[in-house]
Amino acid sequence: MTIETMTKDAALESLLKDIPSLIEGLRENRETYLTDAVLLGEIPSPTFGEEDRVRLALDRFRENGLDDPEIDDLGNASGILPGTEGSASVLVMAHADSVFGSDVRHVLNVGSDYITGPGIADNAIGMAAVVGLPNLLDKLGIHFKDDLLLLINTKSLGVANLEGSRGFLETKQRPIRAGICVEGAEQGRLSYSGLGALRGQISLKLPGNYDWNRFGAAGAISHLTRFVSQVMEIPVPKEPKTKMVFGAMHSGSSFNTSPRSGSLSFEISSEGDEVVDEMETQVNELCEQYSMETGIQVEMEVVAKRKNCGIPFTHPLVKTTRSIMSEAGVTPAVDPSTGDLNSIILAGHPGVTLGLTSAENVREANETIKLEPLYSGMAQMITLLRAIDLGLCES
Amino acid sequence: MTGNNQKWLDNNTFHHGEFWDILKLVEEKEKKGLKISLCIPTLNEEKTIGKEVLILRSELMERYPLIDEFAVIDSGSTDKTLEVASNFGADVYLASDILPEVGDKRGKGENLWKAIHQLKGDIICYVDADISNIHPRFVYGLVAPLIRRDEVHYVKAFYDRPLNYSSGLRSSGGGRVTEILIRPLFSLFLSRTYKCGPALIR
Repeated sequence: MTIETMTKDAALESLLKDIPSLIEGLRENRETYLTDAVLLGEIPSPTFGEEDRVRLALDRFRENGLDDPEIDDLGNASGILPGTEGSASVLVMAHADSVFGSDVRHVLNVGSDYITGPGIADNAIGMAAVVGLPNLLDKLGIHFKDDLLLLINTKSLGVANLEGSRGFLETKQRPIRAGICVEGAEQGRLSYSGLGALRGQISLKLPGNYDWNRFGAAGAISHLTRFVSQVMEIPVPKEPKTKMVFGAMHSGSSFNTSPRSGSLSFEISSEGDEVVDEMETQVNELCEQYSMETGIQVEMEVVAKRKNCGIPFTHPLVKTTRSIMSEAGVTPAVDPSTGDLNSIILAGHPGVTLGLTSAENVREANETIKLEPLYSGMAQMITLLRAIDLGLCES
Repeated sequence: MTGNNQKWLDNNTFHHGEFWDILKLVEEKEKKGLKISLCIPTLNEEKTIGKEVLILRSELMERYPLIDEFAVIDSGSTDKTLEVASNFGADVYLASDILPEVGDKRGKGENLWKAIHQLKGDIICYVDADISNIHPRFVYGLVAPLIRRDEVHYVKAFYDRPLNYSSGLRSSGGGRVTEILIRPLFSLFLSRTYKCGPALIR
């Protein structure tokens, strides 16, 4: 009896039993994807500046066995690993951009059980897993009925608002059975929903005729901190679960000059779309009030906004992913996504985000991934692909 | 510079980009029945040796079999250099274990000359252990002229290299061995006619 003719439960059981040997195979063949991770990771790739890294990803797609990979108008690199039947595709994607600018020295160090350096976890190793899949699957003797649609997407982070993945899915006319977003960390992470979110930028500017002698006069930094205090007075509900994060504040350039302008970047995320709308209105009203009361120009620009989306906890894709993680000895940590998973689900396809390995100091210059857990993370990803291909993840 | 020297330089200076087709290099190597050994001399290089062995072995042995033997020859590291190098598949040797009967004088030079005795290749390529931006071109750029041109027996790399010194990074000023030793030495050879000789790779 082949795995294709088994019942769904028996087929899943068979896949789960293969995980230990798959981990061993991935450990033995680690050089190819670890090399891809280092070569890719040592090219700076800030959001809107991913071209060089994506060009290398395209080359590595070719080196790893894809016949005709391409770069689209949005700068995304993609290619198809043909299946034996090809009636549908499974999308596997990883974002190319990182939080580190081009001025940061992208040097990675490789130890016996780690790789360390800016952006290795987010998301050079994720990219390497996608780029290396054709070669790896060939070495492991794994074949699929469906095509694998492999995507290295741009413009995922920050103000880019998922432009790369959204645009790719809008223009790609292929039936997609399911999608997997691959992130370097954290193994065990399981995302199957996207949070409603708003990312905003507050800009504050003193007028040219600002009266420094008036009561309460101060530089932009003082006004920004006062404004933040007022924004923090906005009630943040516990249900639906809601969070407000102040991510960055910029103002001033010297010790002894009061700055005249400043900016504040923040994110509101919530399981309730109406809560996001209400908080957006309240922040806007605060901007108006502060401007009128102080004579200072305070404005908010919404740089990204999206609604809640997701597939149910009971969806076969989520259930199968949990079974795979459990077999691998990993406790799933459910974590709603603010990333590219949103694009997959909003385009009408079921999807999950997986983390490959454990990491420390994420988004710092000494970001580090562990290698031993990585083999298990890769095995979980490949097992899930096999399960999707066998039709085990469909409702 | 004399006209002959300039002509020699023009004919015997290459850029690694000329040899991007590694598959073709492998075919040429195999056609000539050549074996190539890669040697990295080390002393306490655990921070950089892992990446060097990983990338060079993966690209130039596993993916394209340009290199037939990959060895680290060590001067007695007290850190994890040998463990890391071995972990990623390099053959590791202590220089003091090679030809012990002739004694040892610890240093990079000893590692280099003892490699000639220890390694089996017709061509030996040496790469430093502390290169933070290692790439396969560091190897194929060096061995390609030796594969393609039978009259070339020695290749030395040169580049515009930033100098990393105690107070920071200077944009140029590296490559001192090339500029202070190798170029003057080559100029001495060029005053005579030789049937075989060196080449420079950029």
